[in-house]
Order: sequence, then structure tokens, then C-alpha cells
Amino acid sequence: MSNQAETHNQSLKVLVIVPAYNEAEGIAQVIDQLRRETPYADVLVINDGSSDATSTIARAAGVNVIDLTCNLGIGGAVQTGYRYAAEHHYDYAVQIDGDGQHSPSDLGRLLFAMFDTNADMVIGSRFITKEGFQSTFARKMGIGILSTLLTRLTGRTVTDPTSGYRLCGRRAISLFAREYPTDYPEVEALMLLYNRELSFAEIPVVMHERQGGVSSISSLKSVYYMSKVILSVLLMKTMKRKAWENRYES
Amino acid sequence: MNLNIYLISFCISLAFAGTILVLIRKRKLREQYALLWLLMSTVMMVLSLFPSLLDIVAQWIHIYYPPSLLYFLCVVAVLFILLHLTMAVSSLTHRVIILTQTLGLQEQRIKELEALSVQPAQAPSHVQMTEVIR
Repeated sequence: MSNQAETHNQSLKVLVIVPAYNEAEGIAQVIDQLRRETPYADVLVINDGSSDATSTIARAAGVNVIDLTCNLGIGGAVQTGYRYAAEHHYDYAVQIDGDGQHSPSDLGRLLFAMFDTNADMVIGSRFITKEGFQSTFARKMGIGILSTLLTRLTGRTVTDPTSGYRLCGRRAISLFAREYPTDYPEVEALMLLYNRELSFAEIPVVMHERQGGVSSISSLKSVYYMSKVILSVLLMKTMKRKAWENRYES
Repeated sequence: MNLNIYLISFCISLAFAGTILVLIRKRKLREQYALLWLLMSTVMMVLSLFPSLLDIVAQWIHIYYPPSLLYFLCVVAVLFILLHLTMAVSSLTHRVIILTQTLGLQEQRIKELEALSVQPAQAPSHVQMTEVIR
């Protein structure tokens, strides 16, 4: 199955965006894994103003690295990757976290789902088959609230709105290169797709516990996180839906 | 000339407006932010020259204790200026994000170009050249 995906991809350019903030411990392993399991994809590490050796380690591993001079947060970092993908005319861009939560071996299945469903974005969800690391109880409750909200608002079933493992096609790349939420962007990005009449689909993936570094969401910030996300999602729902025209010059 | 609170507050407002004008001249304050401040100091000057205005307006809108109208106006003015500042900060944040991203993308492009210009001298082989260009 993955062999077929590779032959299929020979004419298509795939970019793996790895946002990394102080991930020196795990980044080499993630790059190594990507090299082995997705040799058809180009890897781009976005070093989001790390204070440790993340950039040096990634560069030594031989992948492209973009260094951001100051810390922008996950949204700003990932958007840099989408801007790069748009500038270099990539057909697909996938976001894989730099801490080893997402396994690159699932990328082939994400690509297949994209060919099958013809969606603009495919999300790897850890809650469809409920395999692998399932997050803590409190976090699962929060995710539950958000997925119910998103399912209601968009009319499509969303099981894992906070998953950062997502594959974008050209239309989604060009949209995200232009506009992307800055902090805690995953949920809002779904609403953005909905507002711009782009489609998304979910497939099951297995996620792991992070290998190093700290999650961007600590318990103190979770109240802020939930209120901010719910407020902006509700506000985005009040905006008029307008189809996104692909201004991807190619 | 008797020194009273109205004269003092007029002088303070005048000094305030003067400071703002000086700051604009020295390019330490951008006009777009200064307009609100100038407007505020003008209102302050007018009110201290004609304090009876406050009583008249208070009577109009049925405020029985005119000084509370002054406090009300002050709070509203400060709120608007704060909101204006928050908006300015938000727009600055947006610009900094775009700038940082562009800087990162450009730096990466420069590194790529530098690698390209160094490569041919070291590796003139045709096969490797096409590798690099691809």
C-alpha cells in the first residue's frame, strides 16, 4: 500500500512541515524517521525562535530549516511552512509535530485518503479507532466539547479538532499561506476552511506520547485556551461564508 | 488675578497639548495616535475656561451632580484611548508575525542560493549539477 503511494507521488511534490520550539531532544529522531518512512517528501523544519540547539541539530541532519528570529507560536510557525509550500508550488503540505507525537508512517494513508475523498484537507484523528496515546482525562473532555461544537457548527463530523497532524492540498495551502490563526490554531483553522467552503476529512491515526519538550498547553493556560478558541470559533461562525479562490500561481 | 482651580486646570491642559505638539514635531509620537490626545486636551481646555458648560450639559441629560459628568467623560475618554492602543498593538503584532515569517523565508532562500553558487566550483560534474538544480 505504501509502495503504491510512493510511485503515485513521484510527480507530486509533498512538503513535511515540522514546527519545532525547543525540541532539541526529539527533533533528530523525528527527522530520521521521516527520512526512512517518507523518502518521497521534502522536510522543512520551522525553528520557532528556540533557545536550544534545535536549529543546529536539524541542519546537521540535512534538512531545510527556517529560523524565525522571535517566537511566533505554533500558528505563526506553521503558516511560515504554508507560505514556503505556496512559494515553491508544493502539491501537498503536511504538518507533523517536532516532538514525535505523530508517526510519519501514517502519511501514506493520509495521502491515499486525500486522493480518495478529494478533500482539501485530511486530518489524522486519534479518536476514531481510539488506539495509541489517548491524552489525559481533562484534555479529552476539552476536546470533546470542541468536537461537539465543531460538528454542530460545520455540520460535518469532527472527532479530533485539536489534532496537529493534517495534510493540505493546494487550495488549503494557498488559503493558509494567506490567513492562519496565530496561537492555538488547529480548531480555528477548521472553521476557516468551513467559512471558505473548503472540505476536510478525518482518518484514524495512532499518536504517541511526546518524546521531549513541553506541551504548549499547560493546565493554567487551558482555561484561556478553551475560552479563546470557543469565542473565536463562534465569532467566525457569524461571518459570511465566501468561497476561497485559488490564487496559487503555477 | 486670583489663582483658582479653573486657571490651574487650563494651564495643565495647555501644557498637555503643547507637550503633544512638541512630541509630534520630534517624531516621538505618530500623528495617528496623537489626534485622540489632542482632542482630549482641547475638551479639557474648553471645560476649564467655561466651567458652566458642564452644569448646562449636566442639566440637559438630568445629572443632578455636575462633577460626576466630568468623571463620566474622563472614564469614557480613557477607555477609548485604551481601546485605540489595544487595536494598535494588535495590528503591530500582525505585522511582526508577517515580517518574522518573511525574514525567515528570505534567509532560507539566501542560504539555498549561497549553496548553489558554491556547489558548481566544488562539484562540476554534470550529474551533480542537475541534482542541485532539481
